[in-house]
Amino acid sequence: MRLIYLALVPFLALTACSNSERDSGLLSGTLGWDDPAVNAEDQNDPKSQAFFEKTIGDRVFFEVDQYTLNNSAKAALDTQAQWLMNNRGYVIIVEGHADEQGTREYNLALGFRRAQSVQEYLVARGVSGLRLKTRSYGKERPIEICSVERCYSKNRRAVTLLTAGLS
Amino acid sequence: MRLIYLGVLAMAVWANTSLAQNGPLKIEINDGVIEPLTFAIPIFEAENLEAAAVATEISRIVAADLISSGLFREIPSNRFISRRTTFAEAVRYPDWRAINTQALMTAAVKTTSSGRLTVKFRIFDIFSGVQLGSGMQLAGDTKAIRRMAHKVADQVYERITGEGPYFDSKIVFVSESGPKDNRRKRLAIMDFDGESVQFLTGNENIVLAPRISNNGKQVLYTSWETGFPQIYLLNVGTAGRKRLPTPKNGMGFSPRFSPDSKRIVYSFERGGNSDIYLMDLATARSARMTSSPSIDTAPSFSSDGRQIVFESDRSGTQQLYIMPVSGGTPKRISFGNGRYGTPVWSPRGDLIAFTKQSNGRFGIGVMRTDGSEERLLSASFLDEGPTWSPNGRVIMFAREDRGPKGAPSLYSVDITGRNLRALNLRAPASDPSWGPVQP
Amino acid sequence: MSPGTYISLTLHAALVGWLLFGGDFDRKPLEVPVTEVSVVSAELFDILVNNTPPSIDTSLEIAATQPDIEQSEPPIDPVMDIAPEKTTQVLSPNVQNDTLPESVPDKPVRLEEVIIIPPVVLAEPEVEHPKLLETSLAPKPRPALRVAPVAVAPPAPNIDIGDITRDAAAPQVVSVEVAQEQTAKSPQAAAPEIVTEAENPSEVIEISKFAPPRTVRPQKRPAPSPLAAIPDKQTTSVVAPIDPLAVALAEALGGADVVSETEGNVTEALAPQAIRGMQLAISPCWNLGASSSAVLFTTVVVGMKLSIEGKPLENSIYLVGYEGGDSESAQRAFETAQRAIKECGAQGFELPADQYSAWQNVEITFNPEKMRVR
Repeated sequence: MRLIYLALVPFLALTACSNSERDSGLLSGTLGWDDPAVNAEDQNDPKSQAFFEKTIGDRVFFEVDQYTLNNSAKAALDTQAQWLMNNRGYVIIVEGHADEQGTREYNLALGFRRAQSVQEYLVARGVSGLRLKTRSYGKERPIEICSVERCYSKNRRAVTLLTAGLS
Repeated sequence: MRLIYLGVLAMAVWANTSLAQNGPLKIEINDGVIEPLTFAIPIFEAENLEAAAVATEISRIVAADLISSGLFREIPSNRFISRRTTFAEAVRYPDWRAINTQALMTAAVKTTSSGRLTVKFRIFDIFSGVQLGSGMQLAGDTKAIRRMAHKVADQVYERITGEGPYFDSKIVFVSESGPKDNRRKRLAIMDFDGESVQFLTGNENIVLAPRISNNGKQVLYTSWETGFPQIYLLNVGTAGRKRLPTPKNGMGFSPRFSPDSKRIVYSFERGGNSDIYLMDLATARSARMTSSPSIDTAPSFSSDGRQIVFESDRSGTQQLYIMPVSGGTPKRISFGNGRYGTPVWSPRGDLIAFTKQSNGRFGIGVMRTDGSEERLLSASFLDEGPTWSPNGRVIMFAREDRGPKGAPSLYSVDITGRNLRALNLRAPASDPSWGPVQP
Repeated sequence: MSPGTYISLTLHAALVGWLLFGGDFDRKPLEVPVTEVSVVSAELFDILVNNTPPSIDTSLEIAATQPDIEQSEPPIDPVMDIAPEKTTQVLSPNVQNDTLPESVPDKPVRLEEVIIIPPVVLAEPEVEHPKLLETSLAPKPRPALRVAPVAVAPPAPNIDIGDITRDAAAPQVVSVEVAQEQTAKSPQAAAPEIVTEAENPSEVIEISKFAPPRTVRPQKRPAPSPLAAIPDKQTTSVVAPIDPLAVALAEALGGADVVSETEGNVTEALAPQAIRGMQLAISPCWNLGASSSAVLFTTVVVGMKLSIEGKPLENSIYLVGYEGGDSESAQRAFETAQRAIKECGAQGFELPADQYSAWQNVEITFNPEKMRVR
């Protein structure tokens, strides 16, 4: 019994932790996934969000106007799926983005398609659909700001975003 | 060819003809010029001392409005021969002809201690030597100088051109700040000429594509306030807002009002696929209008409210489609080279404005509602999102510069393709939506 | 370990276990939203809570052709009321010229009635003074002649004010190009590439500040040479549209077959150059630059009487008929025609005096078809 007890302690602690995070999020009204506390996590911890972002890789890229996944995107998502299966505590938001070559609303719709492609792939690889949500930012949130293909190719992306949860 | 003959005048012809032995000499003129009308707008007369400053200001605004239409060219006052043009004084046509003035406006301004402001004015056709229409007078509050000026300019514009008014109108738009990779956006409203900017939302959340209702009282827009794009309805007067209930398990965006402001069409995404939906604002019930695996978005009602036009990539690329609001099969209307998006139906009902992409460039164009007579009015690295002036004569849109420092600004262009001009705003702006002429 | 601890432990373990794995097995995730929320970030919590009440269930997939069928749950106050953000109070940092700040948009300053001032006030001086001025103090207004009345006559040297003011500066060259290119782009099959306009904003402002582009038309004012070839075609095509009038008049006059003869007479009697000259004289003054789209679709027939010097007689210009627009746009179209006649006819049209009876009465059809921007 003592063993069981000890094993459960971290769970309890984490539950409390996630609750307090939720509370602070509610109070401050900030977006939880920008929480510095999360970013400050050690990226060497293979279960951390930072590790996922830096080492596993949180994004895949698309061709112009496309939302189908190419081979390198699929490979990246296989790795992501593997990690997500092993770290079930996170709730996942897949964000679709587009480059600036397109009208605003079309790009928003295109971002949805890209996010959906990733979501479907992750689900097919065994990640529970109930942990996944999608959203699109269209061309509103570029990460590269030059107006040439070098930047465009970085902006046509879908980002797998982990939000606070159990690890 | 059926001419409508004016009975009395036909009699006059008859009389003339019988006097002369021959019929009238008949000539056809089918060549002319398209030039702005030369217009003299002397500083308005102040009828009382207090009105002097106001009179100057109003006359400058009126002149600026008219010139901005591109249909008039102002005769500089240093060329005037008739120095004193009081309102009561008769017009000395020869003086104005000598400096090649085609139209002249005279006006007088009066203020009262109770805060009233009146402006009376007349317009003259100098070469014809006649007054155009009746003189008019407008009354209002002394605080409403700019609106008064816009109203006066509207009357003059309407009388001379035969086009409906548009100067006394508001435009809702997205005011932008910050670097390109962290743009802050907020809704704002301004006069048609870029003056009197007021913000309607804060800039904490991304907002885009606001659409003002035909009565000018409400604005639809898309915001990420919840973290996810949702459709909001904002009251222009109070700046209060509501989130509109879209169906479950998906996200609504790209909303637009029906002409009577009672319904909206919008794009709804579910499972990655976007379709067009229709919502009755009174009941908040939505119904689906299109059902295709393609991106269907950017819907816009026809001016009579019976049809919608929207963009879809069901053919493989973005193209424009029309369908009845009551349902039916969408009919493609755009067939040129390139891609067509963000269609907006003209308030006159005759044209559809759109954004066209081809060869890596963007332009604003118009076509008839059957897709014929396509014309491009602008082109640049990125022109996008046309909106119509309430009289259907002018189109405003956003133009964005290339590169890391690129930022959008607002431009307007006459539907003839002439008079492209940038709006003078202090901050980057995008997504204009032109409201009605104010009552 | 006390029984209490055991109970607590068991319950916690159960709870945590459920939280961790329950979701994956639960087929109806939204049924117990509260529990799910506890694992979920603040934002998702917000989203879930906010999403639930207003959401409308739509199993809409069928409704494609019948959008009027409503597809929603009863709207229990479907809309969440959100108070204006604190940051939302109306700021107007951009107010400049306005000394008095304009009120909030919901309270628009109301402009009152538009009173029509009876034109009486001016009607009288308007008629009298100009005469008085012209005879007494005014040297005759300098001629605003823009074109030689007869094509053959060499154009007067460029001393006219009119010419000087009209031929404006450089920007127009740019705009002419623009206009041309646009018309070239217009066909339905449309432009493969977009190259219509100046991109440089400063250039653009330059143009618009001074004058919008003028059309190409004034420049293709024909040289006299082709005249000889054209006249026949020209006159017939000119007369054709007005035929109904001729017919009507002829009938009114009681001579049915006078029609063609009358026309024949006119054209025979008057040298084609004279007619052409008059067309060329009026065209440059016929300015549709400040006309509504409707006016550009309105053809007007304008009648007038000319003096023996070829000058339009005072008050003799009238609207004979119109086509393609309503009476409103016909009135505007008539105004542009009248302006053209008076502006360019001020010095009198060059017409052979010995044939006065042939041109004493003139009817001019102003057809804007070619002027429309396509």
